[in-house]
Amino acid sequence: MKGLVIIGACIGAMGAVYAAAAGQFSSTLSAQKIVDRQEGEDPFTGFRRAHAKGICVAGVFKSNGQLAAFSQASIFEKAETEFVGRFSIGGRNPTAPDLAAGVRSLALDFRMDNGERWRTAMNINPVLAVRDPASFYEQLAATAPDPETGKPSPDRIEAFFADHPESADFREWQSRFTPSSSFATETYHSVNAFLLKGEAGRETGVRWSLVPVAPIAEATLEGQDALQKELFERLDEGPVQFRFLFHVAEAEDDLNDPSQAWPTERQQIEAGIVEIVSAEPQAQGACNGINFDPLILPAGIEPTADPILHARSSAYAVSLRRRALETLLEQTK
Amino acid sequence: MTPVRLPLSMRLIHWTTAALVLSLIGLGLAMTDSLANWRIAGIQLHKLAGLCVLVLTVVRLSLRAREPLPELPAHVSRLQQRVAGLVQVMIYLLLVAIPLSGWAMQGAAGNPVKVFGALTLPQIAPESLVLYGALREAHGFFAISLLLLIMLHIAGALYHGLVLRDGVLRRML
Ligand code: HEM
Ligand code: HEM
Ligand code: HEM
Repeated sequence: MKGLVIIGACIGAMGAVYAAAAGQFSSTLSAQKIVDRQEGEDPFTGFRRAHAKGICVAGVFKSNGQLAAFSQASIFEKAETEFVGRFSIGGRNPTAPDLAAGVRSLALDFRMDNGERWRTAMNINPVLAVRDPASFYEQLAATAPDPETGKPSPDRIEAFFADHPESADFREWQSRFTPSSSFATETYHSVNAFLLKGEAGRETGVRWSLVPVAPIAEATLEGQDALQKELFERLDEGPVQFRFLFHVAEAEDDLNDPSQAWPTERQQIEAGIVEIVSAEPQAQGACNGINFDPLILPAGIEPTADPILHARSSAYAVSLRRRALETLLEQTK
Repeated sequence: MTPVRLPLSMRLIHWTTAALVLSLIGLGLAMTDSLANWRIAGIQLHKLAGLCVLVLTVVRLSLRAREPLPELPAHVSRLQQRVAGLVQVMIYLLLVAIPLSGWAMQGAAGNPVKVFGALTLPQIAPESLVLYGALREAHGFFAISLLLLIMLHIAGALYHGLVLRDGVLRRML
């Protein structure tokens, strides 16, 4: 009898330990909870839970060798590396009108010769409104559509910003930003900072951005898919190019705070040209299955301790798992 | 009566595997939903340790194929032997299927599996969202199934050790 009790206690304790490991008794914020808020009440199954609407692109990065002294990643040697990428707009709705979106984005997946991959997902905003995942979670609630009006409530957003003084740089950017008439003429930012690892342990904190080569054109766009249509037309004429700029942090720049802009006079290194040569719709496109997890990095680039950066990686994995399962179930129906 | 024990090699592999697998399941469950900065190191460790389990299991199965386990004491009924044997076969299947599904799902997601910094392992599955969907769910489901079987297995081993006191537990100690 005593033996059975001991056995029961052991097995019960074991079950409890694993349930605890799986977060069953914990109320701390998790990636699931964040993605639950991002996808909203009735999710668009099979699509990304954020930046759901996008278009696949492909091209090549022509490195000029300038960054090789800072990072051992082979992609920065003077060479060319192919990539698959994706232009997208912010939001959960895969059929939202392109021109209504407040955020435009470009994500890239570099396929290096040595088998390594490097993913980066960049936005037009150079900074975030928040610096920690809990505030991001609050922001999702503050910007969610009001059940009564179906639209985000300006009052709640105001109140959120007032509670979050760290959003000053973001709001400043927002107030002076005017969207251009093309995905090809926006500047895209890594927002989070990373560490470049060079020879002899040399370490450099950086953010990067893609700066368009083409000048902004005056154009009147129309239609639900205005930006996608414009991109296809533009690519018929020739490749779309961006300069790949790295901004070098100085001692007073906090590498772990994505809400603070760095002074514009920081050293900039141009690593080469990112050249987009083709585009295709995302359904069945080469980018559709890719999770542009910002922590898929080659040797020579390392994450900072920025908690937003790490939260992103976890949330992207949850989003990927959900849409992958939904796509599987859809196909086996 | 001198107590029968399994060969030292088998015992060592059993306990190394047991420690690795029990930690791996806990780490896997804790890391997938975590927002913490240790997650990324946790995933790397998880992949490495998971691949070690795969290697250990292959070694273990070939050892077993070469030399069958010593017979169980006569009083252990045929039914009991059958059940214990079945649980062990299922554990072995999962000890192969779980790390393979983990490795393959990384391929399906196009994530290189890097070990010891520099070495990138071959991609054992083509990049595909649908395939990732299947392998990711399989990996999680198999791991939970393994955990339940292990609980059954431990309950059985302790039953021999604490209640029957018939030397079966000692075979593995
Ligand atoms: C805590 C902060 C953030 C969270 C929780 C978050 C979450 C997500 C999620 C769940 C996805 C869908 C991933 C997928 O299924 O493939 C996504 C996509 C994306 N995110 Fe974020 N995000 C955050 C911050 C950022 C920041 C700072 C940037 C830009 C610098 C960014 C840029 C993007 C882009 C470009 C995509 C679309 C990638 C693609 O084209 O597939 N996100 N985000
Ligand atoms: C015996 C070996 C292994 C065991 C017992 C195991 C167990 C687990 C468990 C319990 C989870 C959490 C599942 C869930 O939340 O649904 C997990 C997740 C994961 N496993 Fe394993 N695993 C093993 C081997 C591997 C290997 C060899 C790899 C890759 C090379 C791998 C890659 C992963 C990854 C990437 C995740 C997280 C996926 C995500 O974030 O969605 N595992 N594993
Ligand atoms: C921690 C508690 C555990 C105890 C007390 C325990 C005990 C035992 C005992 C006494 C045997 C010998 C049965 C016989 O002689 O026929 C055995 C065999 C076995 N155990 Fe465990 N075990 C434990 C954990 C595990 C775990 C976690 C695994 C799987 C990962 C596992 C997998 C096996 C397998 C496959 C066998 C078959 C014999 C062999 O091929 O080595 N055990 N165990």
